Amino acid sequence: MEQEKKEIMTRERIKRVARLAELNLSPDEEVRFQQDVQRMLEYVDCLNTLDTDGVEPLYQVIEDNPVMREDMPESVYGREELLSGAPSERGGYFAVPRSFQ
Amino acid sequence: MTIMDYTALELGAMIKNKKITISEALDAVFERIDAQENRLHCYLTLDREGAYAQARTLQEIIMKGEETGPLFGVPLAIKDNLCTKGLRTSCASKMLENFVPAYDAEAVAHLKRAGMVIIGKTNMDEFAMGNTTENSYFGGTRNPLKEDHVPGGSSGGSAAAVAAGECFAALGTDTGGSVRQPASHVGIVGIKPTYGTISRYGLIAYSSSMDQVGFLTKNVADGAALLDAAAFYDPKDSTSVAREKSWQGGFDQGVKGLRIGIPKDYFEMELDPEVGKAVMEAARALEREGAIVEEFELGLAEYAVPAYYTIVCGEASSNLERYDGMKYGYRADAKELHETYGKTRSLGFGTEVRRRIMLGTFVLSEGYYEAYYLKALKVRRLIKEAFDRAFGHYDVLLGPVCPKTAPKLGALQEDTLWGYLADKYTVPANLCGLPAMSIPCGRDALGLPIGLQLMGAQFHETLLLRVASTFEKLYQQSDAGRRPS
Repeated sequence: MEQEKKEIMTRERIKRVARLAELNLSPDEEVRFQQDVQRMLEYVDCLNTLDTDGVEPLYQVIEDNPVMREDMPESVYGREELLSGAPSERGGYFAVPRSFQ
Repeated sequence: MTIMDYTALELGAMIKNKKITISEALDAVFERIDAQENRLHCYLTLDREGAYAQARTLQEIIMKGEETGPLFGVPLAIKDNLCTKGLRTSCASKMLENFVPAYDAEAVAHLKRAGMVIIGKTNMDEFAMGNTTENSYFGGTRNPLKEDHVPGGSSGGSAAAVAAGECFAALGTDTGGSVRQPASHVGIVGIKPTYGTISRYGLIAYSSSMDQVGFLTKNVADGAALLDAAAFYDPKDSTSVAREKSWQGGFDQGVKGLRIGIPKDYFEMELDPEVGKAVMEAARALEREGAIVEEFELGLAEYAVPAYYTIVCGEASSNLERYDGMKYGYRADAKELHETYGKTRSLGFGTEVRRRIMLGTFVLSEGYYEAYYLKALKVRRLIKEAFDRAFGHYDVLLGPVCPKTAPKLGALQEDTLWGYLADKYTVPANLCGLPAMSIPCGRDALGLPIGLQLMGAQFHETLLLRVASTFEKLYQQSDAGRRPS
């Protein structure tokens, strides 16, 4: 039985996802990624054939590992080190373009 | 035998006994590198100066007769997604083309403390996304055994460097098979430890719940030595586990009485007959050595890849948000903030990276999170439970690493989904945080290596090492496995 594949990844959704991901896509790329993502979504849809009622999501593979520590600030790296990779730096600060939004 | 024929431990012993100086070892490595790198392209950065300077410092310690470890003075290559202080770390991406870390990754620091000498940074798929190393911004790496074929990925540069004698051992990382698969494709040993064993501090994040540093070595003993030298609890990594180093008790006890399970499901999926044959022959060899070998139904095998790719893309999209051109890395030229973000990320990331970010962003977005990401995490638990049940009956699971041997360069470019399916045997160990290894077990008709995969329950590396080292001895005695002289 040939199921009609639902178009989950519409043109609108691709644009929205690209905005969320802060990626500029050219019109050609929009089409291409729309097809790629749609194809992946159709493929992973097979997960829905599994009954997961009452199953807890597995976020961490080692589940009983204590992860909390005291919230004590520590100075590990100096200003110079932290600015060493800066594309643009001014007076000991990262210089970034202004936002018009 | 030339210097480059030694294993890491053999070289370590020669250095300790003052039969070879560390500089001589470096000379041998760089001679190989200079002869081959133009063709193979295993490395993205070489640090000749740093290596020789380090060699001089370490040699003094040897000459003074001070106590040193088994890997002291041995040249090591490091995958380019592990931070190395003062040495460019690019993740094979334009985004980090000029990034020089101010610190060493914890795993790197431990191996430096053990006296290993860093020769350089190896090629990889961009941000570890891929399984052929063709997704590198700087161009791919060739398989040293057949140069028109890929070495696998994403730790392809590291694997190829070990196989080609361009280092004695290498660090890689394994999120979905990226240490085991290239090890299989170039005919060396690859180890992915239990999640949490090696600190992820300084490992440039791809998928935080699955990333793990791994080891690419000429043999099992070398792999175990690197594992031992790098496995420490690290409070800086909240997923680091304080654990016993069970393998220090040795792993040469053979396999008599060990229960080895072979998931039938893996052989019912698309699998090259030559690969299947080599893997089953390996199983029979272990049976002759006294292991109890049995086929069984693992279950849910076909759901591992879809669950994996949903989770890995979700986590990757989140981790790669940090690349915005503001504090480090590439920044595109633009007047306004959001314009800069968009342009930087579009120009700085390659196609596969952007593809996975798009998929990942979608599966984490409002309205789709439950249906995709959460669903995948629930399936992940079901898969983990299937493995827990299997380890209730078996000590070690055995199967193939990859469905085929190394493809030709360019073969996977058009069909990314098919490329993802090639990971079907390796992703389960990452989904469940299990230790897993790849060891050579055969060659196909073209002479391309075939790897045998062993998987264990969490923290049971020692059982894997026992089976691996037993099989390695048998295989090396066979014609196919005989060590080239």
